[in-house]
Amino acid sequence: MTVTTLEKAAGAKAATVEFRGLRREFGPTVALDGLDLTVQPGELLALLGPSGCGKTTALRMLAGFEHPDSGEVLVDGEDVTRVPAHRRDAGMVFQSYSLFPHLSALDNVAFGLRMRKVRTAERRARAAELLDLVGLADKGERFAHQLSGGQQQRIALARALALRPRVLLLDEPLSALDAKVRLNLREEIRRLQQELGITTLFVTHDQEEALSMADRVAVMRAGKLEQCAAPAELYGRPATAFVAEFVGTMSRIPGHLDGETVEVLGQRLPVDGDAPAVREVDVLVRPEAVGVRPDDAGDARVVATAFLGAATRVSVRLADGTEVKADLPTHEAAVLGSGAAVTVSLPERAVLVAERTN
Amino acid sequence: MARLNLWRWVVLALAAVYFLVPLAASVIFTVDVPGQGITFDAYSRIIGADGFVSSLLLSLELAAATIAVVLLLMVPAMVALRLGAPRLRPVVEVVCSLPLVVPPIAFVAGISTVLKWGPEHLSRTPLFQTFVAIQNPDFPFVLVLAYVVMALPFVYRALDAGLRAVDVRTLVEAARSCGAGWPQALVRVVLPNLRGALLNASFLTLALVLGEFTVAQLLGFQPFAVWIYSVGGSQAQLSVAVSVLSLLVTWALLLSLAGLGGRSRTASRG
Repeated sequence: MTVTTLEKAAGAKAATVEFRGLRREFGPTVALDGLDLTVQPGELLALLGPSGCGKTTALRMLAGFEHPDSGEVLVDGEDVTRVPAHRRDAGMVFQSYSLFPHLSALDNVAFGLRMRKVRTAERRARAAELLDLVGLADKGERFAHQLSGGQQQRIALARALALRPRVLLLDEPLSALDAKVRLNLREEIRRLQQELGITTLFVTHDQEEALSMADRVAVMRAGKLEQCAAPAELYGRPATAFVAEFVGTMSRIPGHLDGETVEVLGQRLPVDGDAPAVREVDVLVRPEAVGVRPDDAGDARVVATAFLGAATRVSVRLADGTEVKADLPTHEAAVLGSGAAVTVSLPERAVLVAERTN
Repeated sequence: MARLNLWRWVVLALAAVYFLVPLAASVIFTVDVPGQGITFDAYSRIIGADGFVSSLLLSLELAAATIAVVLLLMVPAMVALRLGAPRLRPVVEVVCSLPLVVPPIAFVAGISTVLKWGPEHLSRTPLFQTFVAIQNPDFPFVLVLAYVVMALPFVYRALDAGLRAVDVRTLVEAARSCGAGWPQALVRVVLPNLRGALLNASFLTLALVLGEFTVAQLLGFQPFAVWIYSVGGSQAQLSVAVSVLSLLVTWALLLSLAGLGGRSRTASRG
């Protein structure tokens, strides 16, 4: 499973992809509402968002299966908006199993080369090489119905890479697989992508998948880009309340805004980023930042605990009825049964605030 | 399981009795002539009769032409319908089912009216020649046109079932992202996966054309079914022998088509 010199040559000219003001409506629904996004050469960019946010539409526009009402798609600065799908030079792996059922695995991988009129011997050699790359060199004669879901997606990946595309498009390729296979294939896709250095767009609704695989994650909402940043930044410094709550777990605790500080849980903490113009706000906190301490005088109550391994997630109900989630080391959480009285505290550092929603 | 199997055999036996007893009776009637014992005289008379080969060939040619025309018409239409305008499907379904509702006798009355009316009004135009050409008794293309319409309901259903079984959209998109243009995607990816449906559609059309009598008879042509009727009309034994024979011919054709398709199908499935 080594990358040949042929593959590396492909990586050397990794492409830049740019979406400029993409807009697309399907009847009354707006799938894309002015999307601007740039994918750097050789990076894996995950498009993350709830279903219906337009992430798949954006990917399909790059593949050439959808056409924007306005805006353009550029690959290496060249406008490809009007180029038909089969001349786009983009390999794609689909969500549903998309292997051609009438062809063997090897012929599936060789299909694109056959379309390019590559000689039989050469294309079989190249297809065998690609099967080896995805670790299925011995499954070349199998048909799709004789392969597991994970194997089918690997072969689909090999097929997508066969023509040495400038861009690799992955449309939720793991969502039909079971958990264990998904984890393996996730690592494998990332490894291959890095070895080949191919610019890759990965659509997913699974935030864990996006955070663990991507160089950068673009969070989309209602056809627009909310934030595009490296996973750590997205998690640590979400630009909007939507991103904060979509990526990872967030609890909202009511607080009073007072200039540049916010009063919450009896503490006065500085506000991170721009403060909203209202006084009544919610403070957004990650479970690992919340401190929970047994305190018989405390007015907060533990309502549930969930064992996660090294940590235990404790759900605490505050005096005003707000529920807060906190991750504690399991040995600390052991003393906190359901109904235990506790006090909740936040670390002394800047916090994110958002307008109160309810 | 044993119970289920028993029931299967019972149903199979009943069906076999229902179909085979009349057949066996027909065969016995034709070969067991009173006073002569077992004789295949009736069959040899048919084979030797005037027009057997020519009418059978005509029917086969008509069937081949009908299958070609109806598939060329319906396959691209159905694929386009599936990919481009799924909402139009009920409309197409109704249109394609109309021939089931219109009795052939009404259909042929309409055709013959047009065939009479057309040449009178178009006698000074090149269309006159067209009317003459499609009624050429050696190869009456007007029958192909009629059969295409009559085969529509069956072909529609067979293709629809085939298209439901494969994810045409994803397959086409996968092919296109592999660098295949539209025609290549259709020929290299969609058609091979519709092999079963195409075979079914061809079967049904072949059976329809070989057995079709009303339209051909009323328009005055003589394909196999009409010839059988005309040759057997006078003699009871001969007419039964002829229908047994036509049954065997149709079966042989269908089986050979199935063998042809079935072999490549299993080969492709590995």
